[in-house]
Amino acid sequence: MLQGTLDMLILKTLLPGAAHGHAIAHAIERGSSEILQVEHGSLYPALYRLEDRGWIASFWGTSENNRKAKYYRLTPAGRKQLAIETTR
Amino acid sequence: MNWRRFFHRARRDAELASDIQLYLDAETEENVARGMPRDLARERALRKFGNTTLIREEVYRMHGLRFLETLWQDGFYALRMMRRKPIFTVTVAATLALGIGANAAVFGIVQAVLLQPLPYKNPSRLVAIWDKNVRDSGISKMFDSFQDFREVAQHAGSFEEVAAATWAVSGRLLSGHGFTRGVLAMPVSGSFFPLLGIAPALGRTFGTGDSQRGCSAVLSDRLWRRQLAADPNIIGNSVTLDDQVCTVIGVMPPGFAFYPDAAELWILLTPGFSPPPDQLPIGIFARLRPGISITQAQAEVSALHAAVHRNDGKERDFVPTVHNLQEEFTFLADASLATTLWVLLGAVTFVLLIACLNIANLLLGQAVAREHELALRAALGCGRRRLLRQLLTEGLLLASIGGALGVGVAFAAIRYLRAVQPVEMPIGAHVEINWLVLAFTAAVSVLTALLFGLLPAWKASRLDAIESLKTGGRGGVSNRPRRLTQALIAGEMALSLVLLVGAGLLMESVLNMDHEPLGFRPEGLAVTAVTLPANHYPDAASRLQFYDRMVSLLGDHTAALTTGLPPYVSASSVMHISNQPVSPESDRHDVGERTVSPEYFEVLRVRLLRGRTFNAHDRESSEPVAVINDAIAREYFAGEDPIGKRICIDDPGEKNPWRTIVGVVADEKSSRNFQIGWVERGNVFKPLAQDPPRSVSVVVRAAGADLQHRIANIDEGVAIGDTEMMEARFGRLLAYPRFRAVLLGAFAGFSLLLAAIGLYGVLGQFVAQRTQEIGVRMAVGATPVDVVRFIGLQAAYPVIGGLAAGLLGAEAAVRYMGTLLYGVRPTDPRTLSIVSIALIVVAGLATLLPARRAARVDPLVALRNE
Repeated sequence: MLQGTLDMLILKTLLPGAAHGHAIAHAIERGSSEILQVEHGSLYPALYRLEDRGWIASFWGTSENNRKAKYYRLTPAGRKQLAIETTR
Repeated sequence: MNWRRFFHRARRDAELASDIQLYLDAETEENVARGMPRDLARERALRKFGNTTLIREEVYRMHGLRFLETLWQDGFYALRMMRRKPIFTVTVAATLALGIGANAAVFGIVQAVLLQPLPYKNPSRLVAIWDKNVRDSGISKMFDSFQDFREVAQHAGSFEEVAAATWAVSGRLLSGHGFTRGVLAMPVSGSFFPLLGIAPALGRTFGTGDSQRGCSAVLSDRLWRRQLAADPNIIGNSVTLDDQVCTVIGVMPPGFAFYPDAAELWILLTPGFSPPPDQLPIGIFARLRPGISITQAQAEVSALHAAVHRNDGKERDFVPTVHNLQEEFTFLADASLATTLWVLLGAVTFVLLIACLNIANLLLGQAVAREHELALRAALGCGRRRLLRQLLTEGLLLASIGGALGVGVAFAAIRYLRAVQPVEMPIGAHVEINWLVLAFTAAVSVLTALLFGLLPAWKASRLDAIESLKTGGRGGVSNRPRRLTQALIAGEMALSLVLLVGAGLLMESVLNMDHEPLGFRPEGLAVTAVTLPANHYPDAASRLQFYDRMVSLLGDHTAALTTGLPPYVSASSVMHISNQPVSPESDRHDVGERTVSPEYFEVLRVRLLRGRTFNAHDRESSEPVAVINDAIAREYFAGEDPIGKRICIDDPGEKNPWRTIVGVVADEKSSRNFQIGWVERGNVFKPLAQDPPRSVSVVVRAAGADLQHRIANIDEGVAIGDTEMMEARFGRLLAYPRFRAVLLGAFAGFSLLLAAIGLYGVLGQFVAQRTQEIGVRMAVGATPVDVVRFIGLQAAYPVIGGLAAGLLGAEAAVRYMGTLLYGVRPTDPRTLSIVSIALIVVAGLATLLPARRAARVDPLVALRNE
């Protein structure tokens, strides 16, 4: 899958709110009607890349089963980037 | 790439690991919720995620500094390789250390002499103005006159400061502090120290009032410490020079020096100076105004000179020339010093090139041996560029080690040179390891690494991985690039030959100069100088009396007195010939003059050709006589008998009568100014008794150790100089040529050795690789002689090729060395043939050992080893 496309999907997924890695992976899968089947692992380099660019930010929180988990949320810059991309 | 992220990589990786774990757990739980058994759920989750290691690696790499990391890795790998082959590593490192070190040392000298500016203010703008004799091109730099100095100082707009200084004065006796000693006191104008821009360490330098004030002196640091015990209150005190009292007004700092090194103090040239300034030969030194070039200054000085001397004829004979001062100081140390240094730098570069070619060959051979290892790495996914980088890093590491050790070698070499001081260094040249030399060493190391590393690395990275693994790394027959190796060996031989030819020519020059008959016999002659103080010996009669006593005391037929000693002839006088039309030749300033005692010719064993030499009858009251040497007879009296003719040196006058020639003697060889070789200059001899000088040189054959004491016994007030052997005086002239020949010879020998080692190594590897083939040959009937011939042919091609290329190259290279040679042409056939034979012999020896090893191969053993 093209980097750019994956990046966009992640940003779109985080639009409603923050999520952790597992949730993002499933959201993308569901969102593409389960047609796009990728290894979920390839999500993580993309997440780190987006974080480096400052479009998403991470923070530690508690997951559903009370485990410490890393959550990701959209930053204002990321929101703006998404707006640019979607209006293209 | 963010530096902060780089340093937090480990932490991020831990975070990622836990993140992944979280994902896996969540996915597993979901699968379990869907009804899968736990282990199946786990497996599905893992598969859904993908390769965790790969993902972690990818993220880790994202935040890394890839280039530095691989460099670090390669470096460590290279170190491990080197540890596994200690002999190879040590050999290469030692060779590089010597090659790079020699380069650094020679560059250090080049830098100090030619590149480093003189230790004065605005040194690049300083010039010296000499007179050039128009007709006699051998005399190209002569002193000017004080009148010329005044002209330039007052009217030349090209200069912002002009000073006069001269060392063409006789030594003075310094007394008043410690024991009496002869010193060189340099007369200078008031603008001398402002020109150089160095402030004194104590007191001041000359000011405007000093010219009215009698004698003022500025001391050198050396004189102040040695003679005056570094007295801090010396300012205002006086020293006595001969019988003149001079006030010390300043002391210069320790690092200060001007030509000549022997000058220990500087005195002000006042109008009342004795001798009068107008009679002194003067050197003019100046600083160019900003924006003025030497050419412009030269034009102005020439025009001024022509205008001033339009009417006195001097303009015909002498034209002023303007020279950069740093070049002048280099020239004054040795006329060929600049050429010598460039030749030496070229030579060490050749040596280093040969070393690099050797190492390249070694590495090429190693590439074959390492094929298996490299093929394995290539098969495991190491890209070709990575392989190349790895091999280059190895080369760079070797070169760095060699370079670091080379700095040590250079340091030791320079310390040794400074201690031994084989030749005179120009003023202001301090040889040392400074940052420029270090930068040069680093650059040379990198270039070296590229030179010997690039070719083998490129070759090695091109190998076919699969083929190499299949054949077990032993390689096929034509695996080693034979033509390339042979070309490298040929190159080494060529370079060595050029160096050998150069060294051979230099050695021949030294031998020629050393063995040339000098026109007299210098063996066993001791020389010293005697100066009579004017107060005790006020007139000619008293001086003559002393001289007669001294000669009879020292032995009538063993001691002689003279005002000028071989090998120096100050040929700057004009000779007039009576009853001859004033021809243009008679105006030439190329006649030397000497006042000698009658025993001179006998003691020095100069041959008499015609007439007679001086005897006891030639006294002050008798007819003024002169003896000329053969050079003058040949030049001025060709085809006629000079005996009886009358001549006069310089302008005739009451103190300078016309003299009758009574004899002709053989020529003495004198040195060419600052250059290698001998010339025969015209010399006129006057009898001592007819004009006893105030100071003489005493020449004694078989003197014994107490020469100075014996003279002092006659009169203790007389100043006696140091004793020296005549042969030592001549030996000094040979110092520079000998230094050159020895150094170049050492470099040439070393390079030949390296080339021979290279040939030996290459042939050895060839034999080792082709053992099978040799076994086959012997099995089908080849004799040991055939095998030796086979190996020999391998060596013959590159050696012969190298010899031919080297001869061509030498022909071009030694043309540049023309000024360094004496008595031998650059294309001297004897030297060329001797050197070529030497090369062939050494190459033959290098071939013999591997050839013998090949001949002893047992065919059965060789064929059995698959």
